[in-house]
Amino acid sequence: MDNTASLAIFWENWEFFREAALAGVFAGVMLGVVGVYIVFKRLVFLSAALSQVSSAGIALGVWLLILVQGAAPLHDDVHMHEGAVDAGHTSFWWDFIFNPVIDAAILSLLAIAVIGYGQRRSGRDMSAFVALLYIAGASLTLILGTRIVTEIQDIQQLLLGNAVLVSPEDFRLMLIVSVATVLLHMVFRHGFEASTLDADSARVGGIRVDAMQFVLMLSIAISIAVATKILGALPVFSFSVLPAMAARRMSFNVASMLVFSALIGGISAFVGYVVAYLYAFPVGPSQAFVCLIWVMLVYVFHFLKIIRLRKV
Amino acid sequence: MTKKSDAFLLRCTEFSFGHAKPLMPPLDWIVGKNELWAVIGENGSGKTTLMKSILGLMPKLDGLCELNASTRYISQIDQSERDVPQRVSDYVSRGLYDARSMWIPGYAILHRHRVKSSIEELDLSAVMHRQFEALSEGMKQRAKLAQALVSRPKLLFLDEATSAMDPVQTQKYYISLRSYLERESASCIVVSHHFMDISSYLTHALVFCDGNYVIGEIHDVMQNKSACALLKSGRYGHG
Repeated sequence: MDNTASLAIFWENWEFFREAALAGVFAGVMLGVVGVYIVFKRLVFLSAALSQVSSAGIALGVWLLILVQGAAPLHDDVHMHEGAVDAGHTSFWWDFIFNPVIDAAILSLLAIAVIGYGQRRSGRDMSAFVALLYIAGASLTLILGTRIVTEIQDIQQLLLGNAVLVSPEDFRLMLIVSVATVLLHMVFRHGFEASTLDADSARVGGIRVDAMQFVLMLSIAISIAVATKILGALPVFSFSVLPAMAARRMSFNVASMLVFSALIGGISAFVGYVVAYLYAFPVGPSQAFVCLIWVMLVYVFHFLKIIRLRKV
Repeated sequence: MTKKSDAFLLRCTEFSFGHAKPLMPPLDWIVGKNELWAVIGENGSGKTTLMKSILGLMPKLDGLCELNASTRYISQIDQSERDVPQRVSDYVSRGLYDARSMWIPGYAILHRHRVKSSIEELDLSAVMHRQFEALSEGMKQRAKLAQALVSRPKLLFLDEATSAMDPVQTQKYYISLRSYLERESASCIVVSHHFMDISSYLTHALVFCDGNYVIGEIHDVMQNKSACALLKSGRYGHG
């Protein structure tokens, strides 16, 4: 395969790939930022569970739609809406209930609310419950997948992520959610940081820790739900953990970690997309693998630095 | 006697939670300016509960609890501080943020002189650019005090804040703390198991013993029979 030629073709056809490639970059940057807090809060498997729960929410939304009005293709909101109009259901609630992104966000928020409540009430490690959520989300997605026969490929796509093309509606949604999330994290940075790292001191300092944590968890749930719908569960889990892991070893403070993590997320998404195009790999796993390479490189440099310091 | 207008008033008319049996008789506690209090008692006597309840970190005690000063709370280093990239200067500057200042962009940059002077006061200048995680536990506890002092609080609560320090470090810690209290007309309440190591810096004490308490100036408390027996039992530092 002539990679140079293929890369040239990729740029020549940039208009065609632009939305899918940039949607990945926006998701990578957004999840890189929220991932910093996921790593700080030691909720790494929560993001895996949430991406599965979001997948289940999306599958549930599609299945409900099919159940009520017959098959409508996933990733085709126009057809879904037309279907709704044909069936004579054009109300706000119809759009609300049968919108896969809304269903994914609702299930993610419910999961996060239960975990947050449990942690606050008992102060116990919720990892067993997170595992339960993961299994529930993954199994529900696969079970519902068998009931969405014509959409089975979409369900596979949902789990592994293969966002070769992204609809203009999804691209707009991704752009709005990622810009809003990054802005929110810029404005709330000190509140998020204080309430995550030393909640008691923050509380005594007058910071409303519960409100801060609610907004933080809300931003995590919504960003994971939206990104899962567009990219799939695997790249979403990768973007929300691996860039922050790599950035941790490169940073001298939380602000620099946020910047590095966002950059690593965005770059990995783009490089992963290009690699997938060049070698005909699935997009999601390629993006996840590029994230993994970042982490491996950073850790190799980190250990080399430690060995050199020990020698000195 | 401290005038109420010059003091932080803590009054717990009934020392119990909800319908539970009262833990102690009613407590009337007035903390004056420039005072350094110790709260002493056996494990489970309710000293940390009292402190956390006053600060709103636990359900409020029944009765009245008033607190009319800007406060800061210093506990042992939290586990969640582990594996976070932050230089000592970053860690200390986090103390600048409260409910109001956290919304002001560049607030830490505008007040970096306060961060610097707080670091110097706790003798941490040599390590201010080092990672907080790489410090010894004793140094971390000094950095935690620097973080609390940077916001210039009028009332400080310390809960086992010197637990990882040797007697020399503890002495330096309390000298820095005393000079801060005098300079800022502030007060401090300490929960510690090392009473004898810090008694020379204290002005007052509240001692929980046998379901009751002894409260007052340090030499009066030391002369109280039941408090004295508890304090000199060897469980509270080098007597």
